[in-house]
Order: sequence, then structure tokens, then C-alpha cells
Amino acid sequence: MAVKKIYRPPMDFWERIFIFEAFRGLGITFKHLVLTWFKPGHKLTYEYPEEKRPVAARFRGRHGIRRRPDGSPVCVACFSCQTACPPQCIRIVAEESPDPAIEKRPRSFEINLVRCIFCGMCVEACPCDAIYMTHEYELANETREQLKLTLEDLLDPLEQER
Amino acid sequence: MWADILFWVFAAAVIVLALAVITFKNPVNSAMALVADLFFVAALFVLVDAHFLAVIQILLYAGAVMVLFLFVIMLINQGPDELGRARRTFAKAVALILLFPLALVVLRVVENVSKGGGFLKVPSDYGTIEAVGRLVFGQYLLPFEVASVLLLAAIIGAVAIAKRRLW
Amino acid sequence: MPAWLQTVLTSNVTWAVAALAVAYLLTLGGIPIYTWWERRGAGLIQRRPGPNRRGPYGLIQPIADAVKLAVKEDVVPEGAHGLFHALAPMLVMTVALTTFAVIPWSGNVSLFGKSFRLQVADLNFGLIYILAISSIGVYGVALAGWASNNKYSLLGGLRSAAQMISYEVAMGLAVACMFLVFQTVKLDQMIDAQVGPLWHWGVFKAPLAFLIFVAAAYAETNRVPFDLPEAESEIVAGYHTEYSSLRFGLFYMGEYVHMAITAAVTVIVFFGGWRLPWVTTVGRYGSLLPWFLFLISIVSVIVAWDTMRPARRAVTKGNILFALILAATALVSIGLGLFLLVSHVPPWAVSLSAVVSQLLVFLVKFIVLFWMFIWIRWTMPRMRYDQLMRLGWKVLLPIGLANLALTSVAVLLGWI
Repeated sequence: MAVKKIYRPPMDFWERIFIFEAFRGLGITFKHLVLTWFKPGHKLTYEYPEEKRPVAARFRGRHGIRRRPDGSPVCVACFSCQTACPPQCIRIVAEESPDPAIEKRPRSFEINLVRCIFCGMCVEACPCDAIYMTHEYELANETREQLKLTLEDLLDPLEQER
Repeated sequence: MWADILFWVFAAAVIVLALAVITFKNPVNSAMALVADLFFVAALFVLVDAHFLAVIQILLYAGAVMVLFLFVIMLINQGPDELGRARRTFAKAVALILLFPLALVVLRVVENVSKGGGFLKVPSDYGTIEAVGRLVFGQYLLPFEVASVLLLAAIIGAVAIAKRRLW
Repeated sequence: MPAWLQTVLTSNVTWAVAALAVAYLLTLGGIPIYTWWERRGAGLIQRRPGPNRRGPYGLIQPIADAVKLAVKEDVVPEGAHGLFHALAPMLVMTVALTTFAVIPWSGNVSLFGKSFRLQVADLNFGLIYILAISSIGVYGVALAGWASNNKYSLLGGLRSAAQMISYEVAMGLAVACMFLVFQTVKLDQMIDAQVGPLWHWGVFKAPLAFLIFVAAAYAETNRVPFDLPEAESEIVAGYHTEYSSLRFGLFYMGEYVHMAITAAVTVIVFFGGWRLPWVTTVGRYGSLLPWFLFLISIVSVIVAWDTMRPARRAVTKGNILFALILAATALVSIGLGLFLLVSHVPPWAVSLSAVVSQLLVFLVKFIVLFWMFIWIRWTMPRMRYDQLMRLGWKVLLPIGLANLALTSVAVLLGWI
């Protein structure tokens, strides 16, 4: 077994008698106390429900589906995301689209968040960039049924929040 | 009046607890009974105006010596079964011999009280730190120093036995 | 002045009850404040806010904690010694509370020809009594460790016993040094010996004894850096591993009461107790009371103003109530202070004001010393066991002995 030697600088006399170093340590903690109380940016924590930590741009929260200019979902019910989903939490039921330029549209689009692992493979797989991950992460709910997102939930992710 | 009642209560507690010390099977129970016993002895000291002795009794015997006893008992941590029944004929004989002078003292006190002799009258500064200090460092200086040398010898002996491999 | 008031004021019962009330406020009544204070202090030192949700500044939090402790299940482990398991927390708490009986909260004042002092019991051996009683506290910890039938608890109890024995020696030496300096063991006479200029305080007369005393006192209260009996990284929670519910609560509260008594004793022995430097007469203390009241009102106004502007949260009814109470306090103290300042005060009122202002001085010093406990806890790392023993026996003991010898020489030569 290899032994890793850690170099510890030897203590000089003043550090050895401890008492003055102890007072120096007290000074450091007191400085932090005063700064945390009076200086706004010194606190390292967020007061969560009122103040939320900013998430990264690529953060993967719950899903959303984009709308076309006329309000209908961009999704063409191609089942790419359902096929790509590792825990198989997406279930799509397709139907004929009334628009002749588009072949299919989803009649229902269901994502079971209890199963979802927020891997983002559905977003990677989507050919028309319809599904995306929002920055929404407060997903706690009271029943499992409420954690099944329907097409309406997915289309208006931000309105659902309030 | 109240002092008399308290005396009998405390004295009875001292005797009961002392009996408890030697009758408990569990050494920790015995040690704690001894601690409580020392407390009641301190209370008896208070009743005869020896406040300093009472406080020192609690500080040294209950607070320090018995903690060491308890420390050792807890460190060895032997239950009543492991201790077993040792043959203590020799120890019993020694105890009986040592009991003899004590019994003489007790008999002497009982005799004195029954004759109506009562207890000694105490001087006004009795039990103060100054009075105790004068006795310890004046009249009884030699026994005091002999006792401390004896304790020093005991400490050195204990270290010598414990650290025999150091020699 | 009505006769009944005079009877009440000059009755020993009134003064004993008042002294008891002060002792109660600083022990059982103070525990919620102490725990809140400790957690807030810890938070701010670690760059986080600490409890700030329930009530203004999170002041209601300790009550929630107490309710939580009280309604939890009381578990007694299998194989535990029932009697000692139950007795240990009571012993810790009782011992810590009993020592408060001898603390003098104020000086002697004369009322209608009689002399009074805020002190529950005036024992001849005040400080030795405190030492003796608090040396009993180790039984609570050691018994808790042994009676729990748990090897970690046993280790914690043993550590505690060894630690207390080691540091009691150093503490005894430091205290003996103070006995030499003040030529007395009574707490009130010690305070009287520190009358006059600032350098008559014990801490300036015997600084080395102060350091030894503080180190030993921290070891006896099982606080960081000497909290090895409950070192969670090594032995789970030490002696109170197997305690839950209010039995654990008693240990927890006992620690704070023990801190309080240590802080009070330190104030008395080393920081002049209720005395302000250079202020000597009772009348002067009485005339200082209005200015203390003005200080209190200024502080209350600042805190009330701060309460009404909580960061990032709406002002709740609790905040408003707290601010109103503070504002009322400020108004009352200003009014009382002005009244005392402008009106002709009879001598009995001067005596009472002196008691109050001496109590306030004591409290301020007490708060500073108590804060030192919290501050040091969140600054120092925990010692290793061999370091603890080395400090106790190889550093504090020789220094204490040398200090005692030097002090006795200095006292004999009249330098101190």
C-alpha cells in the first residue's frame, strides 16, 4: 500500500502556546458574524420559499411542449420521445390532424413524473423541437395522480405554477 | 428540636445506606449508595456546625474520590455473576479485627452520653476555614505532611507498578 | 409611603422571592433564549441566518423545539439500569440548578434601617459550595453512560468522568489563587474586594488564573473544545445516545444551566460582579438607573425598527406585536427614567434603583460571558483525547501550581 505523506508545516512558538491563535480564530468568526448580519451579500444561504436559487440555463426541470402560433401543440405524435424514454414514462395517443400539412397530432400526451428521471432524452429525440425541459422544480404533490402531466399541463407549464 | 429530628433522620439514612453499600450485589449500586452515604455524613457535619468539613467532604469524597471509584468500576464493568463468590475468609478476619477499635470508640461515646456528659462545647470560630487551617498547618502539621508524603509514595508506587516495562 | 408597602419592602421573604425570580429567569426561564441565541450565533458565524421563521427573529422556535421534545416517545433501552437511567438526567439538572442559590445578584442596600441583598442563600463557603455541588454533576453523565447499556454511552461517561477529575484539579488551583487574592471565599466579599478602578477586577489581578479557570470551566461544562463525552464523530452522541424525549431535554437544558452558572461565577470572581469600575456608593448606582433606562429604550427602538422591516418577507402580526411591545418598553423606560431624573427621589427609591441598576450591570456582564461560550463553541475544533489529557495534566496543572506560588508571594509582599 502506498502511503501518502502530508506535509504539515511545523508550528512556531506562538502557534504552539495556542492562546493567541485561539483569539485570532475568535476574531475571524466574529468578523463573519458581523458581516452576515449587516452585509446583504455575505450570507451563503437562500431563504427558500421567498428567495429562490437561480438555476443554470441547462437545468432540467419538468417538461413543457411548445405551441404553434395558432395555439396548437408543435408535437406531431411521432413517438420518438416515448421510444427514447429510459423509464418509459411517456404515453402518447395519436390522432389524425385536421391540418393537411401535418400528418398526426397527439390526442393525449401523458408524462408520469413519478417515473421520470429527468434525463432529457425525450428532448434529444424530438424531431420538431416540441418537447423541452422547463426550469420548474417544485414538483411535490399530494397524490400520484396529480403527478401525471397531461397535454394541458405540458402546454402551459408556467400558468400551472400559480 | 429540629436539629434533633434531622439528626435522627440523617443518622438513620447514613446507617441504612452504609448497609446498602455492603449488601448490594452490583458494584455500581454500592458505589452510588456510598456517594449518597457521604452526602448524609456531610449533612451530619452541617448539624454540628462544621460547614467547611461538610463542603470539603462533598467536594473531595463525593465529587472526586468516588468518581474515580465509579470510573474503575465502570471501566471493568463486571456484572454480579462474573464477580462470583470469592472465598474471603482472610478479609473477613481482618475486617473483624479492624472493627474492634471502632466498636470501642462507639461504646465510649454511648457511655459518655448515657452518663449525661453530652458533646463538647464548640468555640465560636469552629468549622471556619481559618480554624481548620490553623489546626492543619499548626498543631497537626507533622501528621499532615506525613500523610501527604504517604500519598506521594502511593502515587509513585502505582506508577511504578503500572509502568513496569519502562524500567 | 403606605405602611404596607414598607412592610413588604423590608420583609426578607420579598427579597428572597425576588432573588429566586432572578435565578429562575436566568436558568429555566432563560433556556429558550439561550438555545435560540446559540443557534442564531452559530448560524451567523457560519454565514447563514439561523432560525428566523417562527416569531420575530425566530424567537418562538425554542418553544416549538420544547413541544417536539415533550411529545416524543420516551425510549428506555433493553438491559438499561432503570433507576440510574432515570436518575442521571435529573441529577444533571438538579445539580446545575442548586448552585444558583448562592449567587449574589446585587450589593447590600439599606431600606428603612435594614440591610438587604438579592441573594437566596448567604453561605459561608459560597464558591467552595459551587465547586462541591458542580463536582457532583459528573455522576449524572457517568451514570447515564453506564446505565444505558450501550458501549458508546459507556465510553462517553468514562471520558466525562476522567475529564472532570482532571480539570477539577486545575480549576481548584485557579480558584485557590483567587481566594488568596481576595482573602475570602464568600462571593459577596469577593465582589466587595473588586471595588474601585478597573484594574481591581480579578481578571486584571490574576490573568493567568482567569485563563486556567475558563479552560477548566469549559471542560466541566462539556463544551467545545472539550466536548469529548459527546463527540458525535467518534461515539455517536456519547452519554446521551440512549436518551430521548424530555430525559434528553433535561441533559440539553442542564448544559445551558451549567453554562449560565459558570458565566455567573466568572462574572463574580473575575469581572467584579454587579460592580461598575470607579462607581462605589449605592447612591451613585441609584442615580445611574435613569441612564440605563434610556439605553434600554434606545436599544428597544432600534430593535423594533428592525423588526418592522424584515428582509424579503411580509410583516406579520407577530412582528407588529413584538415591535409594539418593544415600543411600549421604550416608552415606559423613558418615562420612568425622566421621572427618576427630574423628581425628588426618596432614599428608599434610590436604594431600589441601585438594586435594579446593579442587576442590569450584572446581566450585561453575564450576557457577554455567556456569549463567549457560544462564540468559542463555533470557533474551536474539538480536542483529541490525548491532547485533552496533556493540556489538563501537563500544561494547566504546572501553570496553576506556579501561578499559585507566585500569587501567594505577591500577596505576602503586598503587590496585589
